[in-house]
Amino acid sequence: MSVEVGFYGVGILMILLLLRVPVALALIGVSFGGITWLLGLTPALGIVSNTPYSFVASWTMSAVPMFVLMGFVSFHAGLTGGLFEAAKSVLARVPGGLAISSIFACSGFAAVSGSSLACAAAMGRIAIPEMVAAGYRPSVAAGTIAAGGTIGALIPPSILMIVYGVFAETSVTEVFLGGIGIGLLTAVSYSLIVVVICLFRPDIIPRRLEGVSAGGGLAAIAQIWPTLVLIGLVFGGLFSGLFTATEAGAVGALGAIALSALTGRLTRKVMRDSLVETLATCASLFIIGIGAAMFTRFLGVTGLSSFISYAVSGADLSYLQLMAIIVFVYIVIGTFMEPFGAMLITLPVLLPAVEAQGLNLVWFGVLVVKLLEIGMITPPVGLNVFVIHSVAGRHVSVAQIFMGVLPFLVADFIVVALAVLVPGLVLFFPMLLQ
Amino acid sequence: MPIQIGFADRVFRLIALLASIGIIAMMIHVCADVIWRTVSGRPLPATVEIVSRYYMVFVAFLPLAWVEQRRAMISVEIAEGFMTTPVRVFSDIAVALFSCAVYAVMTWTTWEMALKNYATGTFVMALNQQVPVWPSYFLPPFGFGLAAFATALRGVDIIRGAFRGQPATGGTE
Amino acid sequence: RALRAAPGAPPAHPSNGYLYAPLPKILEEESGGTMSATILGPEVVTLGQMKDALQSQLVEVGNMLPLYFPADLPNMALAGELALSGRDPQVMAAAMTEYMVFCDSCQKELGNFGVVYLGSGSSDVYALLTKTPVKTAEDLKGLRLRSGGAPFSRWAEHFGAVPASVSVNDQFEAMSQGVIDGSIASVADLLSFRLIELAKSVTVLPLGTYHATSDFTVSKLAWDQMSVDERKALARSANRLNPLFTHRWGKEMPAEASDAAKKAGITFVEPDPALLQATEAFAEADKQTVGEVSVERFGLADAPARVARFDGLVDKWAGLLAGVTDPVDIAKVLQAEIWDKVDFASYGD
Ligand code: NA
Ligand code: NA
Repeated sequence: MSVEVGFYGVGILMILLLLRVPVALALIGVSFGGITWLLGLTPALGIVSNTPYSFVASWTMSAVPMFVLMGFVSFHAGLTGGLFEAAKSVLARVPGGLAISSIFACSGFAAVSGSSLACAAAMGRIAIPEMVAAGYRPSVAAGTIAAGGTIGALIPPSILMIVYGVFAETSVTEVFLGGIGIGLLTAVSYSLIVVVICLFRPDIIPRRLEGVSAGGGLAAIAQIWPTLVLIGLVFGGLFSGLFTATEAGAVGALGAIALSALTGRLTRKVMRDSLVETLATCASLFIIGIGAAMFTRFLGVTGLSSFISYAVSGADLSYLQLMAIIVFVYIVIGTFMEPFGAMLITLPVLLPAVEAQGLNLVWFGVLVVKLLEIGMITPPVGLNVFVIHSVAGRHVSVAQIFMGVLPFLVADFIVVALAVLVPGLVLFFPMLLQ
Repeated sequence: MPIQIGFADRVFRLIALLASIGIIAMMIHVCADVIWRTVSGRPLPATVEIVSRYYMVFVAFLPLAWVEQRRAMISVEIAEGFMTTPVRVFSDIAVALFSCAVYAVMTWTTWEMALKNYATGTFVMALNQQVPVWPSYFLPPFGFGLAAFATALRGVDIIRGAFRGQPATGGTE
Repeated sequence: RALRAAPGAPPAHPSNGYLYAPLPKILEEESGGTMSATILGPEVVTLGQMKDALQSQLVEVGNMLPLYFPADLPNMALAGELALSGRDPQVMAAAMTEYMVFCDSCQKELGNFGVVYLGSGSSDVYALLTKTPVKTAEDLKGLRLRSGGAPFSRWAEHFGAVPASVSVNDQFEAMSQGVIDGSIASVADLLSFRLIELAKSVTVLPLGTYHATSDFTVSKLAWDQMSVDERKALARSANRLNPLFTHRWGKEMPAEASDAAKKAGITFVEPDPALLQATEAFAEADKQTVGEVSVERFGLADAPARVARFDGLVDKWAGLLAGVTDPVDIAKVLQAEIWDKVDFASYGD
């Protein structure tokens, strides 16, 4: 069985990453080498020549640069500054108030973006500098948004959930409704983690915001109207059916530019900085996406999915044993794979096992998306962490962000355990529908 | 900084800025489609095809060399703290060479693919309309080629710096 | 010898479960145990990547949709343009197969593409899946409809509807957002793409079939390495599976989707006779349009003659398959009429 070659591939990938080879090039190099080893040079060249273009030339993916641009323009033009001034004055007495408001801002943004990358990119540029300025340790500030961004794929719309629905032939609407439950649960659990850190380690997250008087917020609130208009534009258009979540990014970016111009803040420097940073973020992210897609194809060739199938179909497994294996599988492959590839490799072999147990496919879909999103923030390949590094790299290194994410992973495991032990938590909203 | 690197830096930057046209065009085109569809009930023709086959390809591949030059390519620097200066210089050189080799392979294979698509005159059908897409296949080899060049320059720069006993500057931030 | 085979589509699609999942077993039977297949899923090769996968022998047998590559495969693209002529899936699949196998320029374009062709399948006759009921031509005016290809777009525009190109991934969201009011598609899409949650009405109009497929496309690099017996075994296997796949895609799945739709409260609208007639007339006139556009679009100077040949083959197979409904029997007719007449020592060279 050539699945061993897959394990060697993962090992070599880890070594290359430790040697500080850029993530994208390590993924590409290992995939190329691995497929050459398994099938010969011609097929390997076929994969290398085809993946870059086929990965990038994607309409769905076009939401990413647009949301990134919207975030950068909002930040550079100071559209969002007022929002945080207002949040600060309101939440001055809440421990970790700024981080908690960022997490809920992520949840709100999740309702307009279909992917966690877009969510993390837009929020990261806006929220992290504010938290750092307020005395947060940069790694935790960045970790908060990297984790908070995953809510983007949990709360509908969600591209991952649509793909799951089509794949599992189950109701997308019901999976969406289940996503609201797990998205809110995630936001609450992240906020609790913030409060806990804040209480025990005030050196990492300050208990009180300094230099903010409770009354001084009124002037700040007058400053937030541009942000409210922008949110209204994107939400309103999305809910009245004027455009789709993929198109929402472009509308938001144009809206941010128009609002900056209206408030007299659109300078050449604002435009140039926003564009330059958008380009750097997108180019470095897309090449990682290309590498991750190639790596997925390599692992597919090794027969990883039949290996997983063997693991779940072996003996008569109890519910908890099966779930333990499934969670383990997703955590392991989530460390180095991107979510769409991970879904394609796993679902064909896991769905029959899940159906054999008579489990609810809506509930399973929500759980799978949650597990895949955990993979977005685990090392060594954590796409959300990378996008946060691109947008706020001035403050922290990739390794530091992974450290900052750790406490939120604890919250994630509690949420997963709750979803497995109390499926009703996930199915509450879908049940209301029936 | 050696003159030729300063010059290359400016070229990479200029080409990257070309990609910003792709971003702006994407934004305007998608918004125009949304507005036109709402006003007249008809979508602009071939929006999906042009966005995905042209603007996205622009944005993804043109800035690569410039990102390499800025050393903004994402890597995991867990081991960085444990490295002594000579080890780090050696690893920098190795990384530059490895990167250059990967980009070179990518340049070659995507170039072959571009030639094939040029020869067939590849197009896609957007409803009842023909949209030629073969030109966009030349963007990946162009971007990868420049990136290979950028990493090669960086490798040379580091080696030279090492011989002079100074740490290399890398790119301009 | 185990061939690397790829359906390119996700498990729910019949090309995965009904073409490729049974391939290893059938191939072993037909070759007396000397040949088999390893299936590579869509995580390795998607439909859009099939061209490069076959040309580089990453995949040795793959499910290819020629309409992804119209510039490379003009004859198949022309046959795809004739979608509106489709009235019976098995007839269309058979006509398509005969059209491709006994046509020198078709074989030449496949050769240049680096592949060998072993038959086609077909969808059911497309219908209108919409949010508002469509009964008359008047109901179609201004309706935004997802169209999966040029012929369906021409039909929509003729009746004053607005065709929209929406990717399969975006279809669900576009329809739920109201960016489109419906889709010109197989009834099976109600289940396959979950449109059952959004559509309120199905209008069964004869909108044609999707038959420009190449179910088992063999990489030429692999074909050249096969003996004549191996080629024959592979062709026989393909020929057994093609009608089964068409039966599933063009008959069983739409029937299941119709049942589910009726249970979900979706209404099946009987079209107004005038609309039905106008649609039939448009389909007939569209053959001439196809002949004209294909000269320029695909560079086929004798396109009208090719359209006529295809049309004749549809009639021929409608006669041959009249009363034959079992896919196993259909495979026998295809084997006798087409594949037994092929010289596998030179086919695909
Ligand atoms: Na979302
Ligand atoms: Na990960």
